[in-house]
Order: sequence, then C-alpha cells, then structure tokens
Amino acid sequence: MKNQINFPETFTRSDFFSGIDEHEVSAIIRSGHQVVFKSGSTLFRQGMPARKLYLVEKGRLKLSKLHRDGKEIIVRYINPGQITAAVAAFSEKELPATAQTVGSTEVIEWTRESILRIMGKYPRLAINMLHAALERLDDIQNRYLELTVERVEQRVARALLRIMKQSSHKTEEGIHIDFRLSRQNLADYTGTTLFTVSRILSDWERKGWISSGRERIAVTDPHALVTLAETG
Amino acid sequence: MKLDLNMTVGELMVQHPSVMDVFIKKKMLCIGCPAQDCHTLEDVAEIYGHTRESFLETLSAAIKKEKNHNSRDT
Repeated sequence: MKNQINFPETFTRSDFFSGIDEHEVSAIIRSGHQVVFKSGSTLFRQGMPARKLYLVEKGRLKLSKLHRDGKEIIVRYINPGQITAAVAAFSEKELPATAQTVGSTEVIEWTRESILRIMGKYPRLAINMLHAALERLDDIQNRYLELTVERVEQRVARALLRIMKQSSHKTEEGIHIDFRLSRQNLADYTGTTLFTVSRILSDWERKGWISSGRERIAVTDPHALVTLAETG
Repeated sequence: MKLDLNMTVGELMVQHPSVMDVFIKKKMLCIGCPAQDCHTLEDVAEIYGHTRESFLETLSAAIKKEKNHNSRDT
C-alpha cells in the first residue's frame, strides 16, 4: 500500500468522483500531479490558454475576473472536492478567470493528455463532469433571466415615475397620473412588449404599489417604485 | 399661446400637458427630465434629430386637438 495516496474524505464526498469506487479514485488521483501552493499564489490568470485542470484537495481557490474598468469581481470559490479549469480537458481556450489560493492550498492537477486518458479509462469521470457543467449552465441561465427581468421592471418604474412627476394630482387613493397612458404606450416608451408591461403592472397592483384602470394609473406606493427605479 | 422654439420643455409641458403624448410617441425622455427647465424646444429637437418645423407642427397639432377637446366639454 506504499504507493496509495492517503486521500481525505473530501474525495469520497466529491461530486467529481461520484459513483467511482475508492480503488479507482486512488488510480485517478495518481494519474495527476499533487501540488501545494502557498497562500496568495496564482494558479492561472484570466486570458491565459487553458492547459491544466485542477482538483482542490485542501484549502480554497478564489476565482476572479477583471472587469472592463479595472474592477475585480469574484466569480466563485473552489472548495475541497471541486474542480476548476475543466475547459482544459477540451481545448486551449482562454481562461475566463484568475485563480488564486486562499490560504495554503493543495491541488491535484492534470494536463489535457492525462485527464483525457484517465477519463477514457474511467468514463464515469466524464459523466460527472458533464453533470456539473449542466448544473452550472442551468444556474447561469436562471440568473441571466432574473437580471433581464429586473432591468425591464426598473425601466418601467423609472418611466412611470417621470410621467407621474410631470403630470399628476394627489388624492386620498394615491397619485393619479393625469395623462392618458395605455399599456401599449408604456411598452413602446420603455422598449418592451405589451405582454411584459401588463405582467409588471399586474404584479405591482397585487403588491399595492399602483392601482390602474383602462388608461388611468394611480401610484399608491411611490416609495416602492422609487426604490425599484433607483436601486433595481 | 403661440409655440416658440425658445420655450423650455418644462414651460411647454405645464401650459399644454397634452404634448406629453407627442414625447411619448417619439420616445423622447423629456417627460419628468431634470433638464426640462434648461432645455428649449429647439435644443431637444436637435438632440433627438427632428427638424424644428416638423417638431413644432406635431406639437401644434397636439395642442389644437387638446383645445378642441376642451371646448367640446363646455
């Protein structure tokens, strides 16, 4: 058992090795290369071609991206049992982020050749990677949709508030917009569809932010709209 | 009241709220704009790429419609 790597529980619980028995996990790890990185080291930089795939054994990696205006955004953290730079298995594509260690970190790294070879031998590894990629994709798609919806809502709130500021009168019920405004008008004005505006206004009405008739809208909670308009 | 290109957008909207319809149809962001009292009709026509003549015409038509609508009510 001299050559057996003493691997921690993090591997047995890792999604990367899901459905693979200990004996095979050991072989897979041996096919890679164990490296220890000091605190604050950089494993790879955004823009560099992807050459190696990394599995965190101990410690943590911080993945960050440099935004256009020089701002650093933290994309995610890679914890023990998780992999990163998986794209290296398939191409030398430019890496989308920079990876730095948070504290001293131990990783197992594979080159494209070695990971492809080992995936060929243990196809379950490739299946696990596919599963992880699909989950991440789903996650991103949901987040993207949320962002798109949030932006439209904000635009509609801003437009409604400006119109309210321009021409309205206050009653006990709320602030009545004097201008005859159809949902189609509002949709055209904010660059969205009638369907979306109707959905948003119905939602606001349900929340008690507005009250609306055929072409009449009254703002009953201007603060809520302003908060949405200003902070999204 | 005669339309004058040197009026500010704010002045126009207060005198003739019906013109808001024009701004909405033309997708001009002047409604509730913080620069309303600084920008003249001539300024915004240029900013939004409209000729002075066509812009004034459209505004006048909207005001006329408003007057007719109001006089019918009395």
